Formats: sequence, structure tokens, C-alpha cells
Amino acid sequence: MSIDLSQFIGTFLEESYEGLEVMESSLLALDSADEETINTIFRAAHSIKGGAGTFGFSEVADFTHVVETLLDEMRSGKQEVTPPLVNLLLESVDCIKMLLEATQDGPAADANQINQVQERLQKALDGDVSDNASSGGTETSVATAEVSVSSPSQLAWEIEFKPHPGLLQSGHEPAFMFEALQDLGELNVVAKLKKVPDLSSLDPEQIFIKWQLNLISNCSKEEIEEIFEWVEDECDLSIVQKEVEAEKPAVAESQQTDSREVREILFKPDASLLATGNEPSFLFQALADLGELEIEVDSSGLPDLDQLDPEKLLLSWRFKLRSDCPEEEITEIFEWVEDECELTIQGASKVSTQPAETETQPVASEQPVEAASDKPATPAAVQSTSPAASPRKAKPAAESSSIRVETDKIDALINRVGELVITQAMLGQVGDELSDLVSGSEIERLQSGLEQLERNTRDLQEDVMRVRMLPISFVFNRFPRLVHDVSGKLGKKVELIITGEQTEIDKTVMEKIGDPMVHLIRNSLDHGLESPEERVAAGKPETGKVQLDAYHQGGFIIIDIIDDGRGLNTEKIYQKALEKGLVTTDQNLSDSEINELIFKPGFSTAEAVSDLSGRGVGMDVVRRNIESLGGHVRVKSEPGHGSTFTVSLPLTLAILDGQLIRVHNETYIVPLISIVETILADKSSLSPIAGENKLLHFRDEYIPLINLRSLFKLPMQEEQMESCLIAIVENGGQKVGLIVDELFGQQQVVIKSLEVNFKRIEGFAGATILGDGSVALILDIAGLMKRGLDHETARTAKKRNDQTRTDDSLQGVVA
Amino acid sequence: MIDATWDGENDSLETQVDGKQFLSFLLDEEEYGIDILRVQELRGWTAVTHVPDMPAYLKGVLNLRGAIIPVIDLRERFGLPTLEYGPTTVVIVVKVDSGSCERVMGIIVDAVAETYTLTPDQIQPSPQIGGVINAEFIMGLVAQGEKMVVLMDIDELMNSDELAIESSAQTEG
Repeated sequence: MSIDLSQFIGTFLEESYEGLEVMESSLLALDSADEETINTIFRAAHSIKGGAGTFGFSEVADFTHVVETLLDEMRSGKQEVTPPLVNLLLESVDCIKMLLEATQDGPAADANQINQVQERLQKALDGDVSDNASSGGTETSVATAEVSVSSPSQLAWEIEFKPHPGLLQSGHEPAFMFEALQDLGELNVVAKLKKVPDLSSLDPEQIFIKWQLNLISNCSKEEIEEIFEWVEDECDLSIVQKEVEAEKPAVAESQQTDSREVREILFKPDASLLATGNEPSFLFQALADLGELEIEVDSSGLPDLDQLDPEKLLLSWRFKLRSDCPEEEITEIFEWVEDECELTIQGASKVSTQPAETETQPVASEQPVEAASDKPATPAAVQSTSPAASPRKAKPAAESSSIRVETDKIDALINRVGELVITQAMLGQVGDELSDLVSGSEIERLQSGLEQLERNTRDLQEDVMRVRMLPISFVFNRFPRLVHDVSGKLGKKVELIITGEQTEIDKTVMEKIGDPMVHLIRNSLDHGLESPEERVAAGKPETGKVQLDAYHQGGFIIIDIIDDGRGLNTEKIYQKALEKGLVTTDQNLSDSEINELIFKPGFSTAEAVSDLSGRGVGMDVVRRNIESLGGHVRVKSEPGHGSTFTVSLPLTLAILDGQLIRVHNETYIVPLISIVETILADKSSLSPIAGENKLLHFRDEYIPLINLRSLFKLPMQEEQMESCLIAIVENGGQKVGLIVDELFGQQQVVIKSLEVNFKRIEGFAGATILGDGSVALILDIAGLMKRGLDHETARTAKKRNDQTRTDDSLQGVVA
Repeated sequence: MIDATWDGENDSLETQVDGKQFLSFLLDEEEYGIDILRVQELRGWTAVTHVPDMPAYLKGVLNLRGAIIPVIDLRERFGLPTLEYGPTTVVIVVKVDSGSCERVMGIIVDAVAETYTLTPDQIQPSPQIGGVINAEFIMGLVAQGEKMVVLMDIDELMNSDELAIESSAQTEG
């Protein structure tokens, strides 16, 4: 009855990738021995390891195990948190990612790199151990002595805690107190069980255990006392400060959290275990996944073959498990059979010679975790496991209450709601028409019902849209790593400031914005920021600043990428543009116009092709990508003070704010973001080229015009109009006027693809369904310009613009 | 490929043991048949939204319960004289296998005629010449009494020319 695990692999991978992200961001945030952060990283690594083991990705599990061991040492203070170590761990994260990808028909992981990183990890592990390795001779001893490193200022507290038998009755739970103590520092708990009576005479509501606690912490006595504040009348408590002379407390401590301790497990199932459908060998497999396992079978209970009942289990087993897992994990494996067996887990019978102090240790763990546990054993059992388990228990991972849903389902939901909105609009229209014809209370009721329906559908639509929205931190999260790596490579000191990362954006937009953002940030690091020397010479702080700022503005999300570097070199850009033939000398360009040239195809100012920005991908690709999402990118620069790239994006690709226009008797939709303004131009402002009105002179600028009627091959207007309605739109820094017949209202529309049942049509971004159920096409300004703007007109417009500017500037000179 | 589902239905429908059903429609007094399993639904004529710069036979796009589907006038597609759309004008919504995907499209015909169940041996190969329709769109011919029904290959037809996913007319700069 094996379960097909493969169905869970997807979930495992997803969780693992998330775990890796957590590890990465936490590692970057880790600047000192911040226990909480290390714990977070450890937990992430631990669950990846566990999952990988379950699914048989042994390479991942093995590799992660080494990482985990190192993290564990960092956690217990045996390894200091140093930048090289953090870098090594970051590389390990990459390796794990590679290994995970390799399991899913990704490219095979680079074995060399993996081995190399693994070796270095191992070295890091061995590094502090070298002087101690002989004492144990096994990996087990790795962790033995280093606590002394942790911090000399720390104190050792010896706490004796002897609760009165009635303590439990007043609702106190010793385990919680120990957890609280654990938060203060490193804790070693020893339970003294001498007073515990026989099982037969045991009162499960009384407590008979005395604890001896060794706490290594820099806390004050008051802090410890505070923990016991509530029980001080119900226990005998003594708190004594000891000297931290030796590694001995450390040894004791390492007993508990030490990696790879050896546990002895006795497993004596009831004869009827098999009858309940349990299979011991599965349990053993699960155990083996935790670490090295030795199994001994005790067959003394077996009768002669002729008396043997094949349905009864008469064997018992003895395991030696060498693993760093908390005891909990072991008991978890036996969870399903605990009522049908006798189980004893003995911890920490160390291979190495034990210092005298630790002699008490086995006593603590010897407390049998009686699986058929009667209540009295529970406090003790909890106690004995808590030191190992509490790092996880004490600070549970922040559980966000969320569920995983496939995006397909959400898309289907959004579509359905979109249709609902259309249906609602249709009903509303019918209701209006009806109320014009008939009157009466029924109509009024209908009307108010329809109004309610409208409100509800709008709300529903907004809510559903919000389901797809995720905070932009999902994109931003990868930048600290990027900045860390890139600045390291460039030898620059960079501080990355991220604000507004909670700003929400549609998932589809987010997926596509990542790469352009990476490019922009790289660009800022590479070209924007100066080297430390240059900065100092310029009187700036050595460390450069790159700031990412996200915020909402009128239906768009704006992302600013601000650096305090040297700014754009306008002169150099101009020269380069001349060289590349992007501009001509007779053009008179403003600084900002020159700066915008960096977005032109075939433009790259990097003098040396660097590993970073000179990948043959220029800013034109960035602009194209952003504009394909219906967004804009602009640059502002202040020489010597830095530059700012501003990316504005629609919040979602599923809906769009549109301006409805009429051309002939067709309705089209122009994305509102593209519209600069709409004007009624009279004939005098149109300047003809070859007899046709193709240029609009507006605000000292010549704007080429596209007549949508002729572009769409619709019947032309009969007579020459005295004035015409023009929507001035902008794309890629270029303005164009669209001649339209009428402007209708503005409306939020649901974007429907034309490709699904038809094909992509140049000039149209898609279609939508209007309130009356009819289809309206959505104009794609970039495509439209490509289709409708002939080069001749565009060039003339440009020439005339340059001409005007020169005239202006000449006038300026004269004046 | 359809046979498996077909057999089961045949038993209950008491039609011929072996065969495929076809829906026939009228176009300029000729009768044409298409595989009935490709027919999603029949609709009356409603106004469509014109798509600029498309051949005349491509009448535009239609809102089919939220999906945008193209609508093709078969008369114009085959160069037959056009007809004013009237109450009997029918849009047959068909599912078209376009290789990588299945597309839903509408075809405008004069009227829907009959359904036939045909065995493979009833279907004669298409003639190489003659007729208003390109031979490549014809799957075969069937004699029904005195009439001749032309069976159309809907996939060939609806993936040709402007309707192809990768249209040659689309210029990539």
C-alpha cells in the first residue's frame, strides 16, 4: 500500500524554492549572530532536506545536510558568522537550486561546482574542529568544544527547579518555562527522576520530577527569575551563577543539539501490529532517511515454525540511529503504531568519551518515551525532548494563512467574473430602457435590484482581481542578492534601500517585470555608481546608494530606481548617438531628449563590454519589454548627483482603463495610459504634406497624424471637415495623433485575447466586450505606429521640430 | 479516432452500425456536409465587429459567451455571390483543429439542411477539377438521392490563408 509520492513532488519543489528564497534573503540580512535569522535559515534548509529525503532526491538531501550541519553550528554559536561563510552559504543555496532543477529535467547540475562547494562546506565544518577531532574520532564530535568561542561575556547559570507535586494542577507547564529559558541562551536540561514512583502508584496529575538546568547566557538573574515568577510559590528554585571556565557545559549542551548523536531505539510491536495494516519495514525506511541506521532483530520471541501464526508479529527490533534529527522526528515515525508497540528511545549514548558532567545526560533521555504513554510520563517526555526540539518549537515559522491555487483556476474565475460584469451591464441597460417605457413599483424594485447587482459585481470584480495581486516584494526580493553579487564583482560598495515593497501588482505583470528590473539595477550599479575612490574624490560617501521605490499612482504602479552615482553623461551619449547615426548634427536636442536616446535600439555607452551590462541587451530591450506590458520607462539624470529610472506599469494585464472612440461606426478602445491629450484641432493647425493633412502643429511641436479611417480601410469622410478630433498618443517617446470621429466615455475593460480563437493582429492589443455584448477592439499604439506611420511623415515631423527648436534657440540667443 | 465514442451512441440511436454523422448546410443551393462532432452550436446571425484590414470573407469577431471568435462568410470565401443576411442565415460554430490548439470559429451559411450518417464506402473521393471549392478543402462526395453532398474538411478550410495562425500577411519588421 505504498503511496504514490510523485503527486506531491510539485508541491515539494515549490516549497523548496520558496525555502531557498527565504534562505537567501535571510542570509543577506544576516550580519551577526542573529539567532532568529539563523534559525529561519536552518528551518528552511531542514525542510528541504527532509522533503528531498522523502522523495528520494538523495543528492539534494546529502548536500543540504552538510549545509544544515554548518547552519546548526552557526546557530549554536560554534561557528562565527563571517562574510566568507555567508557567501559560501549563498553559493550553497544556488547549488541546492541547481540540484533541485536537475531532478526535474532541468539542466544537469554542475557536478564540479557542487563538489567544490561541498568540499568548502566540509572544510568550514572541520575548520573549528581540528584540535578536537581526535577526542571523538567521528563527525559526532565536531561540535563538541566550540561554545567557548561563542562569547566570553556569557555567564553560566545553574538552575535547580523542583516543582511541588501540585504544580501542574495550577495550570503551569514546565516545558514552556524551559522554552522561555531557551530564548535567553543555550540551555541544557537534565531531569532527575528519582522521586517518580512506580507506574502503579503514580498519580498522573502530580509532578515528581526535579530539573537541573544549565543556562549559558548573558542575561541577568532577574530575567531568569522572571520566568519562574508565576510558580515561585509552588517550587523550590535555586539559581546559581557558575564560572564559565570549561567546555564542560558546552559539551553538555552539544549533547542535545549536537549533530549526529547516536540513539538507541527499542521497538517491540504488539503481535497484532500487522493486523492493523502497519508494516514495520516502512518505518525502518523512514528511520533510515533520518540518518545512519543499524538494525538488530530480536527473534527470541519466535515460536517454532509449526506454531507460528503468520499474521502475528513476534519480533522485536533494536536500532542504532546516528542522526541529527530531533527526537520528535523519530517519535513521529512511530506515531501511527504507538498504541500497538513498546517503544523506547535512548538518546545520546555518545561514541566519544564523556566528561564527567555529562553523565547525567543519558539519565535525562533515558526517561522512556513510553509510546503507550500514560499521562504521568508526559511532562517528563516533553521535557526530555524539548531541548532538541525547542529551537523549532520556540519560534514557529511565521505561518501565513494562505492556500495554493493554480493560476488557471484564478484566471477562469476572473474570466467568469468578467462575463458577469458584462451580463450585469446588459441587464442594467435593459432595466433603463424598460423604466422609460413602463412605470410602476415593480420597475422601481427592478431598478434598485439592478443597482445592487451592479455594486456587488463591481466589488466582486475588484476582489477577484485582488486575488491575483501580489506584493512586489516577490520581485524585489531577489535584488539584495543581485546587488550583493554585482557590487562584489565590481568592487563597489553599495547600499540597497527598498521601500514600498508591499505595493501590490498583478502576478502576470510581476512575472514579466523581473528581467527588465534586473537590467536596470545592473545598469545603475555598473554605469551609475562610481568606484569607492571616485566617490571619495567627488566628496561623496564611499558607499553608494541604490534605492528601489514602489508606489501606486492613478491605476499604475510606479517603480523608481534611484542611484546617487555620477548621473548620465549627456555629452558622451550625444557623441555616441552621432557615431551610431541615431541623431544628426543639425538636430537640436535638449539634455533630457539626449538622455532618452539610451533607450534607442543599438545604443550602449559602456566603453568596455563588461560581464554585467554588456550582454548585448541594451536599454531598448528594457523599454520594449516594459512597453509590451503597457508601461513606460523614463530617465532623469542630474550630473554628479545620480540618475532616476522611473518605470510605470499597469496594475494588471487583465483589465485596462480605456478611452472609447468611434471611427466610422466602429467602436475602438485606446489604452488610457497612452493618451497624452485629446484635442479638437482646426484646419489651420494641420500642415499638409503632399496635399494631405499629415502633420499637426501643436504646442510648438509637429506631430505626425494617423487617420484611422484610412488605416482601417473604412469609408472616408465625405466632405473636408473644418476641424477634427485628435487623440494624441505616445509610445516609445514618440507622439502621434490619431484622427477619430468621436470620443465616448472612459471605461475599465476586461482584456480578451484575439489569439485564442483567431490570431494576433498587428495594431490590436486584444478585444473586449462592451456593455451591450458587442466586441470592441483595443488599439495597440506601438503596433499602430508601426503600421500606420510612414517614415516620410515621421521624418518630416522630426525635421520641422528640429527646425523650430533651432529657431527658438537662435531667438533665445538674439534676445 | 472518433469511432470509439461513436459505437456506443450508435447502439442506442439505432443508426447504422458503422459510420460518421455529418451535418449538411446550404450554400447557394448546393449542399455541403461537415463532421457533426466538430459542430459546437448553431446561432442566428448577429452583428459582428469588423476587424480592419482583413479579407472581405472575414466578417469580423463575435462575442460567444465571453470568448472572441472570428466569423467567416463561406459564400464570400468561395467567391459565390453574396446574399443579404436574413432570418434563416445561420452561424455554425465549429471547433477547428489548428495543430497546436483548438480554435472555435463561426461560419456563415444560408441554412442548415440535414444530418446524415455515412459509412466510409458511401463517400467517394473528391474530383480533381471543377466546382467552386478548392479540391484541397473537399474530403469527399456523397450521393443522396439525386443530390450530391460535398463533404468539407473543416480543418483544411479554417486554417488556410488569412486564418492560419502564422499568417504570411503579417509583416514582422
